[in-house]
Amino acid sequence: MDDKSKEYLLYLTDQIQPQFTEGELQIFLKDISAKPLERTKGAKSKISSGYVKIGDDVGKSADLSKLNEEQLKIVFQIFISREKNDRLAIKWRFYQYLKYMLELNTKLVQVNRDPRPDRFIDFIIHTEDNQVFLALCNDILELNIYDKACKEVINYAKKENLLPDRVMFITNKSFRNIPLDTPIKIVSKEIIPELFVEWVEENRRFKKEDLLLVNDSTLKLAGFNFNSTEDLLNYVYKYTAGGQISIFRQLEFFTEVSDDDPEVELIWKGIMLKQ
Amino acid sequence: MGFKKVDLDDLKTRISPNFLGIPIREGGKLVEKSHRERKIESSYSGATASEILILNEEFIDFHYINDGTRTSAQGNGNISIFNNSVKDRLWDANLQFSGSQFNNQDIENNIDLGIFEPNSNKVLKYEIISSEELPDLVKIYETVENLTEDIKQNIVPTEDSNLKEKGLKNYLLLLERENKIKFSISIINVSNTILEEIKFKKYFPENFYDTEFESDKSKDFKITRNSIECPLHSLKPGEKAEITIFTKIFPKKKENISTGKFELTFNLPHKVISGVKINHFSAYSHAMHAIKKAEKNYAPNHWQCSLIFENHSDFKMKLKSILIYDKSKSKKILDLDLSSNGDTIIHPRGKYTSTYFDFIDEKEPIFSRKVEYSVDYKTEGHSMVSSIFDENNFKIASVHIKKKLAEGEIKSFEESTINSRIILNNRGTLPIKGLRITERIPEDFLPPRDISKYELYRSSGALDLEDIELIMTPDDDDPSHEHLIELNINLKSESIQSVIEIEDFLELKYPLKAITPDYKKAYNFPLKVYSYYPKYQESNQDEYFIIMDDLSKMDQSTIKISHRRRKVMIGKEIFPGRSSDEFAIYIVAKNGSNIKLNEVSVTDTFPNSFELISSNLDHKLVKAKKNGENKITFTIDTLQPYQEREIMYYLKNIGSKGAKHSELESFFIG
Repeated sequence: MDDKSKEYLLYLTDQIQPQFTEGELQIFLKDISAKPLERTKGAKSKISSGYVKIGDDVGKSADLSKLNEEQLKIVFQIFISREKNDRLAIKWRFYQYLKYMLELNTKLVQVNRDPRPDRFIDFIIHTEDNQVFLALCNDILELNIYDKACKEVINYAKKENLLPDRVMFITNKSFRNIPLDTPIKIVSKEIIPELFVEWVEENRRFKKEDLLLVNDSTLKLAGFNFNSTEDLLNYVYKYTAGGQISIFRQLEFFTEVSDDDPEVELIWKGIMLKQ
Repeated sequence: MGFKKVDLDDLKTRISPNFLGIPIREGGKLVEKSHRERKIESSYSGATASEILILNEEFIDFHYINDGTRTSAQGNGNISIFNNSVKDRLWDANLQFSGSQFNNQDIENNIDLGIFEPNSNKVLKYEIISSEELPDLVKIYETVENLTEDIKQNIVPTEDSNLKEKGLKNYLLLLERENKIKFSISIINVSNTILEEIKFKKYFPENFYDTEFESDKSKDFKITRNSIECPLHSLKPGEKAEITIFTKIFPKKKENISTGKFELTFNLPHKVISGVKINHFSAYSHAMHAIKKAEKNYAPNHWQCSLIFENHSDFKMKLKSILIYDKSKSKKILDLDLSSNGDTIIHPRGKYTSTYFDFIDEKEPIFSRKVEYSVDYKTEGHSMVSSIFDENNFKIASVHIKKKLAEGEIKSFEESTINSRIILNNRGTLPIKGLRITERIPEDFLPPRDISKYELYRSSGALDLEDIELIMTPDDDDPSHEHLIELNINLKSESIQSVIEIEDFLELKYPLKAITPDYKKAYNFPLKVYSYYPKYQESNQDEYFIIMDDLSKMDQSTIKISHRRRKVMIGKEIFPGRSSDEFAIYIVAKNGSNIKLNEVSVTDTFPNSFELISSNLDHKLVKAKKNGENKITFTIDTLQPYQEREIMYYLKNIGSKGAKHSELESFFIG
């Protein structure tokens, strides 16, 4: 992965899973270039001020070849090498995770497009069972940021007359003094905050450069998409029909030079039951 | 893009920096260099098998007091189940073990362990309840001897030499003397199994010096400032290890000095002390079974069938039973109990084929089958035992002797009585049970032979004479040779708990007669005191440590015999007065010796025809009834050596006749 030519970057970014849709890519590109939200008339309805709907154009896979080299590099740094760990990088990596987060059954996701740093709520998630979750992304979660973010959640809920069911703080790193046992009181409702920290499984049984093959190549996935075996299994659960699953790794597939006779190892075998 | 939901406990666990998140080395890199690892024991080669290991480890702590009595025992165990395969999972794992409670080993624990990922393990923890019932595995005896020559012991032959029945031993140290101490430690394996990796450690207070060690099992002593460690490798059942430690101590003051506690740790290989047993373990991994059906070439509708079982995992598998019915389950076709004649093990990638059985059916036959199998496993167990033995405390023994004679000086060649006084102070930390006091009385002196002349006092009062035995050798009143008096106090009757309590004293007084002592001789009165300390604490055994103290080392008392004689002169002179009927009587008392004279009495008489006018010294005047004479007595309190005192008194004649000088030359007593 030392080669940083546009062709090679494009080859790698094409392997990012789950794939972006056209709509997602556009919002993502505007977000990382800090372009403010264009005001659209008549878009009141359920959409909160400063937020846009995202992920509602399922099936329209984005064409990354239209991206310039600089944009491809940022995509590479956020999703592949993960050397970018600022708030935006966390926000978009969490959005990818949101798509196959096991216990979520999303109906509508709204993403914050207000570039002001004091806008902490990044995603408003509506589920099929009519629950509303708020997700607030940070690079490093400190106590004072947490306190400010809690205030914004309370103010936002009052202003929008929206009582959330879950409040999720998403971060790359967190200080240990976050009072997770103290509920956030919104009007008369008390909500226990949840903290999600970006997590890398040490000694995981595949590497970033490996190609991961599910069953008889039903799915072919790049290792760099997943931080842990659990992460991989969540994805496989979401994007396969379940049943008997075998996951193999083809070693160092994404290195510049690979063996003619590649080594393939079984890394997981089991049953995934779907209702 | 994995995120992990963390809870409060995750936040509080401070094993890394004060924040938690992606490890530093995972971030900030464009490229992650990949190294191809050497493939470990590829299961595909079929060369080696992965293993399931069930390891039961027990940890037991015993605590003993110094006489070997156990005061507590606590233990717990870990049963760890390891899946050592690099690729194969296990599922439906079930473990049955019995005896988590030592006193009720019949209770079976049946635990569902679920799924094991490759290269993973699960640990079950249990406590050993009723651990006080666990048997002792070692017996340790520590004897502490004070090799100092000043300490003797009376040996009382007894049939029962069991230390425990006699009670705890008193360990004595002599104050302000160098004490040579020997610690002898015996470690005996009283279990029926070998003990391995034995480590002995003894702690010492800092006061000890010149410490040396010996052991028949090890020369490898590790010495630190306040402890020694000695690995003993192993002890077979019944085998004994001896460790001897020589050391020295010089107690400068009365203080608590301990013998030092010690610890013993060892490993019991292949054995769990509580008796917990792994009764059964079963789990599934990848395997396939099928019934092969082939129609016979020569006989249509005749099928030759067999059951095949293929082990697709890296583990050895144990095939237990095969049961095959026809489709309707009405007819049993094959019933194999494969564990009845030893286990049927199917190796990784191995295959088992049952015996063929024939079946007649127009269509391809269908069977109902049940195959029982499980992965094979091995069990290991061992116990780590740690025993702590409490320290004991040394007692300090110290007696201070003082002897005083009421008269430091007596006259030679005269019989006199002097009071001998001996004071013994117990300055130690242990009461003195009994005493033997011996004093050598030189010739020309005689001690009393009657016990009633001896007085013994303590702070609580006089001692009863019944507790005292007097032996005088020779038992006579001949002052021409020396006598030895021996006073045995509380050594036979033992009616009192102790003769001298801690910080108390005993005072002995008796009159000593000096019979014509010679001033040319030097008289010594050697005194020895033997203190009897009980060998065992709170025991009525008559075994003692005996410590002798010599007066010569302490407060030596001497008596001086002086060769002195009194030399006194009392003179009387009569002077006439101004008139013929007046007289002055002048008496002079002269002490011509070098010793002080006390109570010098001078008496004079004068006829009744005279009356006493005055005197310069107090007097006593008595008139005799018989002849009417007057007797006047003067007493001089002291006459210092070579002092002269004058007494003057005046008389006047009261008779009709004239007074004559000759009448006054009366009898003079002085």
